Amino acid sequence: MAYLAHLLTIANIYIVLAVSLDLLVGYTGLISLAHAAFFAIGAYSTAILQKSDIGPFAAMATGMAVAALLSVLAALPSLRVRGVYLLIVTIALQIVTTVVLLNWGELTGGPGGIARIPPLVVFGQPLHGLAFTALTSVVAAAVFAVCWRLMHSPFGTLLQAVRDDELSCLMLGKNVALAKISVFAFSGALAAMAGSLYAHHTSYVDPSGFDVIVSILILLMVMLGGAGTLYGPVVGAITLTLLPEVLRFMPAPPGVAAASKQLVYGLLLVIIIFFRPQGLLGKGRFHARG
Amino acid sequence: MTSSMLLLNLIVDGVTLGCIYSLIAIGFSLLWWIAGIVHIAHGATMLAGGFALFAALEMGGAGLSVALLAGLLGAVALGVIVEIFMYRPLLNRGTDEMGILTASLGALIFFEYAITIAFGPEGATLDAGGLRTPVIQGLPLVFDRFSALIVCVTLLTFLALWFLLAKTQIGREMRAIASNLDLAEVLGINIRLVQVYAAAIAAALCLPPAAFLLFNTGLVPSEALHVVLVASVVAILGGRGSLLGALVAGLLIGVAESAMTWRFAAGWRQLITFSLLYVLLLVRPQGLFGERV
Repeated sequence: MAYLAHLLTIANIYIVLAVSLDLLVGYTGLISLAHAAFFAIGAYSTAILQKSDIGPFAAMATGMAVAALLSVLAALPSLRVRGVYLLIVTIALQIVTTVVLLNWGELTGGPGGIARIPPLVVFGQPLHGLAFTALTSVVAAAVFAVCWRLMHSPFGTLLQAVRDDELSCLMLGKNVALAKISVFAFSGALAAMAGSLYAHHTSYVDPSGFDVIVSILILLMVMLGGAGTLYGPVVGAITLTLLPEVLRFMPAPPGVAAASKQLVYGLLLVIIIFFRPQGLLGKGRFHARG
Repeated sequence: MTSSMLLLNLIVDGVTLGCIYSLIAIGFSLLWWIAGIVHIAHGATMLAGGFALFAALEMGGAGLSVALLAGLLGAVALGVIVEIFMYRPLLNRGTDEMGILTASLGALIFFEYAITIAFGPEGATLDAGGLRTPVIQGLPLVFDRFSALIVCVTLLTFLALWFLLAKTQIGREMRAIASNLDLAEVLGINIRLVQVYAAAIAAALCLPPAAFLLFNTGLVPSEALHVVLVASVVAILGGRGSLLGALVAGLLIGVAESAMTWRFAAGWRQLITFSLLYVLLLVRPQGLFGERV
């Protein structure tokens, strides 16, 4: 039961990550492989600020603010360049984040990470197991609802218009730069929130939990479920959280098992692009141009 | 060793590192210029070449020349397979740049972990042995034969590539496709064939850097993405369509990374690469030597 609660919590956290990435990839057509970096910022903010007495929610908010700020930095080149350039900027941001986590030992604990993060305390009540699962479910549902509302508002329509024809949006006098910057910041802040929840859940953070393969996994969740649908990434997140757990019971040496998991992720990306570029639940053609 | 002497040595190291970066980048760039493909799987081609070389040398007990041939075959085979069975069908059905990029990323991850399973996560390292003696004995500036070899091979490779692109029929066809695809098609150039050649040449260009890495710091599968990233930074920094740009940008990044370790811990050196990239994309997205797009 505790194991199931753990899996559900992880799935909820990945739902927040996948849904927030979909805002960029699916709705705005800006591909990003830096999502695990924002995830890391949230988790490490909670881990680092636990010692000060500002409280878990202020720590979470700090992480979200820092991630939003960094997202804006990532968004700035996207105002001039797109496609491969933006992808490379985001991979670069991801790798720089890993470099900082590994090397700024005094702050981040280096390769060893930070341990003994206390559980989240709500109204004087520390949340463990199922109670924390319930909280993350509420958060995931709330994030989905907010994103859904936002993407079906004039702002969401503008983002999709930017994705489909940026030039026309500019000619209609829309503030494309502001739209891109704000969606980047919003998406990064949500990822940081997921990171904060993750730190409270596992009580331990280290750089390997936030490296580029995690960013690729989140992108895969979005693509598998269907970019630009919001519910697709939810399905993608659940599938890819539970799938490795099923495969866990297959006999294989530990090193090979971990590597074959990543191998399957890579293969899945190729297969999706070949046979169902719009994802399992997507409608029409997927056309992120970045 | 005095501090300034150390810096000088680091710069020399940086030049060799930069040569390797330029070599990796030029193969990546070739497919980007000619076929418009963001060839992230280039890292996998390099691994294939390097590990085929390693397997032939260590497990097959082959001589160096035979092993180099095996490495060449390994790289070219994978490069052409990816071109024919992945890029070609995707381009034919009109998949956009982002789709091809994603598929290429998937292919890189797939081959990277296939090689991890086959050779282990630590990868492979070989000793350059006698090549590690300095070219000139007794100088405080250490420049060994291995580094000299890297610099020579890099210059020769770039010269050969320049000759190919500038003076031969296939090179002219490649440049024609790169500058105007539709016009090239109207003129009766067999675009598919030329792009397969380009993929084969790009893959073949992987062998020297793969061999140098193998005999130097070692070839680690999990470094593949980082290698492609550096290649793409070099490609962007150098500018689209410029051989000289790729060479200069590779050297610049190699020297910058190496010189970083003069004052900072080695772990921080990647920071300089991406800071350069970031500033460049903000102020001059077409690269140092590229034409305005």
